[in-house]
Amino acid sequence: MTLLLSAHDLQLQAADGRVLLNGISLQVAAGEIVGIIGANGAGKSSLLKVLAGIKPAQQGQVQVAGQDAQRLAPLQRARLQGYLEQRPVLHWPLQVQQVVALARLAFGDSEAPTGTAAIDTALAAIGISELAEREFLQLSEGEKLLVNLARVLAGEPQLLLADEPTAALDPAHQHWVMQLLRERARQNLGVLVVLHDLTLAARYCDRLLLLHEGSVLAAGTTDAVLTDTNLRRAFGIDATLDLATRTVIIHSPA
Amino acid sequence: MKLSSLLLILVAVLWLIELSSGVSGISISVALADWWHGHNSVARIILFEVRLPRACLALMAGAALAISGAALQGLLRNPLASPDILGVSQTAALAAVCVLYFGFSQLAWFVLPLAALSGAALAVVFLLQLTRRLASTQSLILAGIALTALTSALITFALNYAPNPYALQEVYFWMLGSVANRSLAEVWLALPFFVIGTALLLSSHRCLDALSLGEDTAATLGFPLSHYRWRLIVGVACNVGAAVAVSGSIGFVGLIVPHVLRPLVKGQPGQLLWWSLPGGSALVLLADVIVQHLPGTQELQLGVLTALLGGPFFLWLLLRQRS
Repeated sequence: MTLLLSAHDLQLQAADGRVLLNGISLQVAAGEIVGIIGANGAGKSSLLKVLAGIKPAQQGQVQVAGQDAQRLAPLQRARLQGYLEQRPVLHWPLQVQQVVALARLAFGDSEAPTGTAAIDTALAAIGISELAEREFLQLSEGEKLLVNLARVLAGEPQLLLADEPTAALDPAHQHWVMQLLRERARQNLGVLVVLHDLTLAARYCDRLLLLHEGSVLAAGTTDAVLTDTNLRRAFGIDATLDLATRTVIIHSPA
Repeated sequence: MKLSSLLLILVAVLWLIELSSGVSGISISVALADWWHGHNSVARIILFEVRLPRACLALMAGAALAISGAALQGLLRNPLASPDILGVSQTAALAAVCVLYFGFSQLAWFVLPLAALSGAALAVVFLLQLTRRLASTQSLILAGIALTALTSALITFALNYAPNPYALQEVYFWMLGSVANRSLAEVWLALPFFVIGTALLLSSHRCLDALSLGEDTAATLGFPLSHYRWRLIVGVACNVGAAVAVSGSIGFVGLIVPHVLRPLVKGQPGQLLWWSLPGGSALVLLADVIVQHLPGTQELQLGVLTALLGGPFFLWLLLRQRS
């Protein structure tokens, strides 16, 4: 399997000295979905921002597609990986297709046939071709998230980093998005996804990384990570993974 | 017809009208014929030494201020940003007044524009730092108003101690903004800064497009602001510095032009940079033609007219933002 993302011993501190990430290592290979889970403030989004190249870590190494991320030019890196932010923002009144076309900036071909084909394919894959001419800012939060997902796919990345891509969606769309990621993973996309919904994590991820106060509490297969003990320590809840339905059942707060 | 062709035709027509405007009723064709035959006539002198510099400076100052406004709006992601509203032009003017006041402008030809450029750069850096602390659009505008008030007070303070009343009057009129009574030397003075600044800004157009999605996502699209910040700051500073050094403070051009053109380029900040150039030239040329044709014993300063247009426009934008 091709290793698309490899991080080793990442350390990150906030300006006030608080430890945000403490010695985190992880790997994502082509064709797999790795989930990052953890309570609020555990460091999930900070980790994703470091891995996406938005925040520099104070210590540690990141490799993207076998290359040292620090030596990769920003445009080169943008052609390899896509980043889906938690809350989509847009500062100007652009149309949906213009927003999706921003993914082709790194290729410089948003007006060329290769670029427009990638944009149309991504819109069709997400099923939002009919929104192409609509103004992005007029859409619902859920629709905005789908547009941003189309934007990331239009960049045809090898690796996708997604920060809570299902947060603003109804249950049906949550499963639809995760199934889409699963389908893309089958086509060799590597996915690293931050999730709050433990059932989604149990059903769709190949491996999980459970963060607790900036450190890795557990890492491995979903069954190995989603144990009663780990869930109690990380979230302070009594919960069990039902292996038959792959659903995390919460009994009560611990 | 395409927007680009329409704007370019409009600029060309206004430029020719500007060349034909003036108190002395000379004929352009006669002046050109004199120039062609090497005759040193009055018509030729008026055309080449009075009207041509004025028309060129209107063209350049308008383009420089409009592209700076478009770039600032894209960089700060704030539709109310413009060099004069945020105090960038006034800080450039303060630096220029200091250089004029102490006589440093005599040292070398580039000292005056360089001082204005440095003042503008300092203001943009200050505003960029503020955007990290002040999240809302209104807070940044208020900070710009404070910066404008401070720099205006410092300019007045400097003028209070002006060596002679003529110097005071000269600086006062210069600050109102005008392209009248300039020479070709001033065109050559501003041109290199305008060319460099515009090249820097246009080369950042894709970064401004990416910034539409915010700084974080722009970085993941291959356009980290850390790589482009200085290019944009120096680009704005060169343009505002060049415009202020030769034409004083012509206000609101950087606000009005990007706003009028934004719907025509479907909101794309990168494309807006390109079309702000002819858009700004058209607005300043039009305003300068109007001031020359207004009745009155003394010609109205160009900056006064743009402020008369821009002030209500700014208020309308503020009200629209609120709603």
